[in-house]
Amino acid sequence: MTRKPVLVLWSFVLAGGLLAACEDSFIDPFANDEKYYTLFGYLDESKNFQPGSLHSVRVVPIARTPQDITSTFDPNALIDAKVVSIDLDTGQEVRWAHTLQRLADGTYGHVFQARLFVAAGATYRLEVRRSDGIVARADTRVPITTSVTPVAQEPVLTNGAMRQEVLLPGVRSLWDVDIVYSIGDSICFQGTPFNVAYGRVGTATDAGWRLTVNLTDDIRELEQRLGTTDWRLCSIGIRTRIMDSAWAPPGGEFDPVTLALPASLSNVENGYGYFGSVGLLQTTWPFSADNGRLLGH
Amino acid sequence: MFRITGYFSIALLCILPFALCTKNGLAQPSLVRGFVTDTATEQSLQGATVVLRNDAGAFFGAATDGDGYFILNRIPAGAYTFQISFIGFVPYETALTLGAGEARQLDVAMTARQTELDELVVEAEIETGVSTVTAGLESIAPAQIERVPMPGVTGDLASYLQTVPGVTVQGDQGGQFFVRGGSLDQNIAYLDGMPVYMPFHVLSFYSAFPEEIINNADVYTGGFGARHGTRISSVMDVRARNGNKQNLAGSLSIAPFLSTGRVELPLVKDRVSFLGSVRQSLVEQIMPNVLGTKLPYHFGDQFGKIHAFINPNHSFSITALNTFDRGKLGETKKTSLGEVDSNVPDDSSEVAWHNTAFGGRYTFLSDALPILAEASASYSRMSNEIGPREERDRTAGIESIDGRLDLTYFLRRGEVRAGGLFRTSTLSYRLGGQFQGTLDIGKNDLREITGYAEYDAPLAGGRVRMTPGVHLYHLPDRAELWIDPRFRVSIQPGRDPRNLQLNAAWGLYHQAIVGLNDERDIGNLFTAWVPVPEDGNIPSSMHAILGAKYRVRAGVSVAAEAFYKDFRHLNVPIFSVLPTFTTTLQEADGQALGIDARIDLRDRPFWLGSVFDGYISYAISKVEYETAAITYTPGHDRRHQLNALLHAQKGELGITMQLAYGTGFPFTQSSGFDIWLVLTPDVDVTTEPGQERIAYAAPFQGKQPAYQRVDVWLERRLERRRTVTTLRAGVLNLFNRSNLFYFDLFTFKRVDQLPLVPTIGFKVELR
Repeated sequence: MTRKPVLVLWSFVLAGGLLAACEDSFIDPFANDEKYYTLFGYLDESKNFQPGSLHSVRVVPIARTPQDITSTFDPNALIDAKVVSIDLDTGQEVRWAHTLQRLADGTYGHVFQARLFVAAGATYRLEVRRSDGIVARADTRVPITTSVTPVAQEPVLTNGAMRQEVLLPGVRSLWDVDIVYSIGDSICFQGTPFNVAYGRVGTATDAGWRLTVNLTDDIRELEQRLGTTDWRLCSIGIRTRIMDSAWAPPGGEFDPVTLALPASLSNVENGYGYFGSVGLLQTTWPFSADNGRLLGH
Repeated sequence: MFRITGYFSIALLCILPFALCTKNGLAQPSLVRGFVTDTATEQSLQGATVVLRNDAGAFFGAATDGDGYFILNRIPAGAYTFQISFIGFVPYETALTLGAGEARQLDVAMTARQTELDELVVEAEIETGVSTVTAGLESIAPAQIERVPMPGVTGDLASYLQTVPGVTVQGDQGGQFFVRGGSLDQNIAYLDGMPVYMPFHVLSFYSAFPEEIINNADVYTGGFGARHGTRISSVMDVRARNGNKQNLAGSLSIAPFLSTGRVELPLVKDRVSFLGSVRQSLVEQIMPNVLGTKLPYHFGDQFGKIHAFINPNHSFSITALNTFDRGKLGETKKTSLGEVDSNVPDDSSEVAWHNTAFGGRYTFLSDALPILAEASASYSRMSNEIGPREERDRTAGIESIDGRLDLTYFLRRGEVRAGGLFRTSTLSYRLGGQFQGTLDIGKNDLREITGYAEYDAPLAGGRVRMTPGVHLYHLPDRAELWIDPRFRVSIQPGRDPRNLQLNAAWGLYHQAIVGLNDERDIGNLFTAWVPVPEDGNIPSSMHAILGAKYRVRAGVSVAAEAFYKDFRHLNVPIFSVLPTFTTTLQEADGQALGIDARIDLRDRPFWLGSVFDGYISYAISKVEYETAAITYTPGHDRRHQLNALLHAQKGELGITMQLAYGTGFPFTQSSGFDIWLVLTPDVDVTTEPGQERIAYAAPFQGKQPAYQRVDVWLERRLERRRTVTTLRAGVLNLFNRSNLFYFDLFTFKRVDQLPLVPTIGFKVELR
């Protein structure tokens, strides 16, 4: 018998051992994926009508050690960043001012603020520029609330409860719905609005945001609030803040466990976080006298 | 796969075994049956070849099963020569005359022999016929385990498994095994039919299965037959030895890592035996003095078995096992943000687990029918804890009671196997402590019923062996039944059984239990078990395996297997960077595919008159999971793995070199540290402080460094009559390579696996 197969095996193993021994055992914990700043903030169209109010964005430099982010206890903390917003339709650029804000827990945060008129339908780019030329940016298109015309289905009476399905066409995400009931005298000459808070209800569909108004429960609540049943329901409306179409969390829920993952809801290039925009939607739709009578009003 | 809902399924499961018995019990042919054992150890011999032939050329053959049992059925009356052969034993031969309708019991004790090397090699390869080649199955005998040296003098199944292609181990610490793309919770291990839920010790060389108690171990890395179920990746089925029924035997070994004691003795000579084993680690006490560094691991196990032959047709055994593990992982004194805090207890990162199992097994051989029946019942409990000893941060446990029946009906050609399992489990967890914020407590009950039937059919004169089967899996609480077909085939294309052998396996699998690990961290040894949510889909898999084995020449063989596993509806924890252990699950599909190859050299002549044994194995594989949001390679995806063992023996002296190499596991890197908040239109960013976080990058895109270890061992073995003395000295991690075990992304604290460790052990064995 020959020793050749044994020698071949030895050679393989020795070569493998040497190869492996030369390999580096260093571990690089960083992805080196060019993430420089985390941004949180939004443009609010409704501030156009609030003189003196500012738009704000919080800017956090992404650090390589956890100790660096604890520097927010320093009231003189510095940040290497300049922030500008650019209206991509007009090219108008606005420089945002840096402030070191004392936050609710006593720490300090780098907040940049600007006063600007936010145009519905316009796209704004926020850029955070570092002195070495690094730029993190995020784009947001301000929702056009005036173009949203609710499509209210005929109310349905089931088991003594009247409900109405409402579609807000084109809306992908919204915040805190108030259903606004206009209550008046027998001829509805001058209706008085009463709000019923719904919170963030409904779901996003391809056609838009769908939600259900529970008329019977709301009317009973209003009766209790007003202490009388002697009034007429003149119209129904909605008051809600519509968020830009990308400001939609995965699964539709603002769940901290999911959103803590940096990439789960982010529109920031070269960074994390979200810079969005909101607009206020206030609109009504008619309510038939027949349905009002079914509700006792 | 078929799915039937409703309690019709229960009736079907109950009727099946009886229907099989009834159908096959119409005739009472002549037969020869019995048990084959080793004279010296009294242990059953699995895989012995049993042959009956006459002058007219009639030939009947069979191989012994895991109990050493054989049966030759439907034999015409007449005069025969009866032969049994097994590698390393003196062949047994006797003349036999069978009367019409006679059932002859022949229990044979075989004697080991010293033989010429060439003869042994040839005989060994004849034994490795098509009946023993099974796709996805590694059938392991104690002698194979003994070939793999380890820190300690007695072998352990865990050390052997590290050399099996397709079995991925994190390294020399951690006690985690992944099999061909499956995750930890998709494997199940049995000892004498009792499930052992965390069978591996915290040092990966050791498991609950020391070589000294093993009779044989079948490790199915995939494609397992109809008998097994409840898991979708792999099965490890270990059968313990029965103990010596003739005389007192035992062993005692002392080694820094693990010291052991074993005793076996007849309680009633020739009828009832006892086998007991105790093992205890000393590494925590000894190694600081040897290495100057702490190895904070404490582990051990106790095993006991009583086996009784009630009469030639009935046997009974009781088995009990207890294991314990405790170890500290990584940084201690750490807050939730990874900062060092003197208020945090020293043992804050301590992990511990215990297994307790006991059970009984009754084997019955029918006089009236060629049926072997096994009934068994067992209780098994596992608890897993992490955190300070006074008040653990998290605890989890699984407790189960099994009842099982297995029937084998021996036909003239082949055999039919059928049976079933009933298991009721209680799964509990408590997740809290510094990382959790809120206390999360869960306790769930799960009942599982399985049934199976398969036909093991030799065809084409024994050159083809086909085993179609079906496995039924019923969950009474969901009122659903899954019918999973299984199929295995082995083919010997040429006339010479020693040359090319081909084999294949295919099957569908389901499991209703999920083990939750922190997917972000491969070094996490905590598993919380939960049933699949009621509204969730049951995880399933499809396995396909193709294999070939080819004998190049005497003592040189090559083998290769390709596998594909398709996983559906896996339940994995959602990704989050919050420092919580989440029980919120998301569904994922996955695929695992790869090729394993192995070259084996046995008893080759080497320098200076020594004899060489060795192998080299290589595995390439890829595992990929896909959730609704992302596609990723999970933390146990080891792309390349190389193992080699070289052993040279001259007389009493042996030297062994072992190499293990594996490419790095995927892990989730970070982009750095920042502050985040849940941004909604209600949030005022000028006052809301937010929360510090580690900004994890895309999941599992990073690669840990490769694992590589070379060990060298020197052994001297002295045999004097009934006494064997073994002295083993060696060096673990000869190149003192820094193999990563744990890396803390908060503190950048790195914990490595074992450094260069010299070790020595001594063992005395009374046979």
